[in-house]
Order: sequence, then structure tokens, then C-alpha cells
Amino acid sequence: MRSHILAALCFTLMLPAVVEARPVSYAGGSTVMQKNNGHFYSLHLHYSPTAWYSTGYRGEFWRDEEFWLHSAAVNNLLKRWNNPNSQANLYLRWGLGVAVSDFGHFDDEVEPLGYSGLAIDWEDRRFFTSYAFRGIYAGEIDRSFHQRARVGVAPYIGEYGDIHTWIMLQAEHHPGSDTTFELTPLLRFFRGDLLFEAGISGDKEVLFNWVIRF
Amino acid sequence: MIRFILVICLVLLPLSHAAAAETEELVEMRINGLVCDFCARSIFKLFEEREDVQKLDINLSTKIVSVHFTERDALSDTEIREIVQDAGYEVASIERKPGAGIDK
Repeated sequence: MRSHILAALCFTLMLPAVVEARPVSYAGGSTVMQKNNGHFYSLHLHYSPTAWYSTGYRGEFWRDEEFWLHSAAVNNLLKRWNNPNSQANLYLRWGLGVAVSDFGHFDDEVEPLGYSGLAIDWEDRRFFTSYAFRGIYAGEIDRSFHQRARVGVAPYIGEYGDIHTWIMLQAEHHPGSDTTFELTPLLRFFRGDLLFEAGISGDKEVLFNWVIRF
Repeated sequence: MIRFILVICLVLLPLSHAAAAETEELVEMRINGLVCDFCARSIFKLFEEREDVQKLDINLSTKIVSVHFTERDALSDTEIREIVQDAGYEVASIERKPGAGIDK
């Protein structure tokens, strides 16, 4: 058990992880984020003491493998480039917790969990691009690597308070998974503190994400 | 007598309004990195919670945040920059317009 915890810690420090930069908010801000796709459902409850990091709970249920990941998660905004007409961000995301599974030969087995990853994005008011990767160590339950990239374009330029729309294409790579490579066209809408995304992958899997900040 | 009081009130009302406008200040900040509603909301919320802020306007096209303060020099340039940094962004420039009233 102790060696597993040490391995999880080492893995966390060495490997980078997936991104959703969104949990990092303004100083004193909170974020609720929920994601659903062909691989997992996840829930993030985060608080940002400063604009440079957020901390909270991240829970995931991986559908095919039937395991839960429960973690205390941290998102660090390592660097933000605030340019006159664009913005770019580099995030470090990591978490520690437990993995739980009763799938197959696992019988309510609990393993220590560690994950880590990096994410980078750039956007102006017309174009968006991002890349993120994450490594997960969960003992015998899961040891995996995931990466994802997105490009997007805004069909119109909205003003503050308008509904903003993005047309995006997401590419995911899940080595070792049944669906190793996946393309998902999606639409993103947001206004004020609400963000909503929906899409359908090439394998007919539904993507549905939402974010609320307060 | 009533007419006299009414006349006095009519004369004093605009004067008191002008006096209040004299103490107000419009601060226009150009913000680097202001590219989306999420970014703008962060800045909006941190100014909105202040009691000396009367009105806020954000223009994503010009990247200008306009804050109407009830008092002149309610915040120094340094304090304004710190608030914007707390939201995660950077102030490129600050322009002050003392006495600028709010479009009702």
C-alpha cells in the first residue's frame, strides 16, 4: 500500500495531465463543471483563492472500465499571456485520491490514485486552440495516458452579455482504449457565467459539458 | 409661499445634481487579455462588489472597462491594477474623467 502511494506521488510529479483550464477563476470565485463523453462522466467542484490556482473535488466515472476516481484536485495557472487582442494560458493539473472498482475480477477494490497533466490554450475573439494531456495512476485499476486537442472558430463576434458561440473540433487520443482515436465536432455556447458544450463523436458518442461560475 | 418653495426647489435641484456629478468619476481601463465573456465577468464581479461603484460597462471590441465611481479618486491606479490582476488580467492603460455623469 505504501509503495502504491509513493508511486502515485511520483507519477503525479512526473506526468502531466489533461486540461480543462476552466476551474481556475478570479480570486474568490467558485466553479462547478460537469462533463460527459464516450469515456467518462465527471464532476468538478472548485474554489479559486487567487486567479493563479484552484482547488477542490474531482470525481470521474469511466464507463467501459467501470471505475470511479475520487480526488482532491489542484489546477495551477503556471503562465498567462495577456496580449492586447488575445490570451494564452499554461496550466498544470494534478490530483490525489482513490480509485474504486468492482468491474471484472475487481471486487470493490480501492487503489490509491494520482494524476497529473499540462494544458495550453490560445484564443482571440475569432479563433481558439488548445492541447492537453493527462497521465493517471490508479494501481491495478488503471494506468493510462490521455491527450486532447481542440480548434475552434466563432461564427460571429459577440459583445459582453451576448450569447457567444463557437464551432469546435476535438481530437482525442486514448492509447489502450477500445476507441484509441476520436474526433468530435461540437458547439460551445456561453454567456456570462454559464458555458455549455454539446457534440457527437465519429462513434456516435454524445459529448455534453457545462460550467457555472459564481 | 408654496410657489416660492417650489421655485427654490427647482433652482436647487439641478445645482445639487451638478454638485454630485462633480464628485463622481469615470475610470476607463484598457485591459490586455480581455477576449471573452468569462474574462469580462471576472473583472465585472470584482468591481461590482464595491459600494463606491455606481455602474460598470464592458466593451469587448475595444477591451475597455468603464467604471463609474461615486467619488473621485476612490481607487488609485495601483489599486485598480491589483483588482484587475486578481481577476487574472492586466491593465494596459487607465484614463480618468472626473465629473463624468452616468447616462441615465
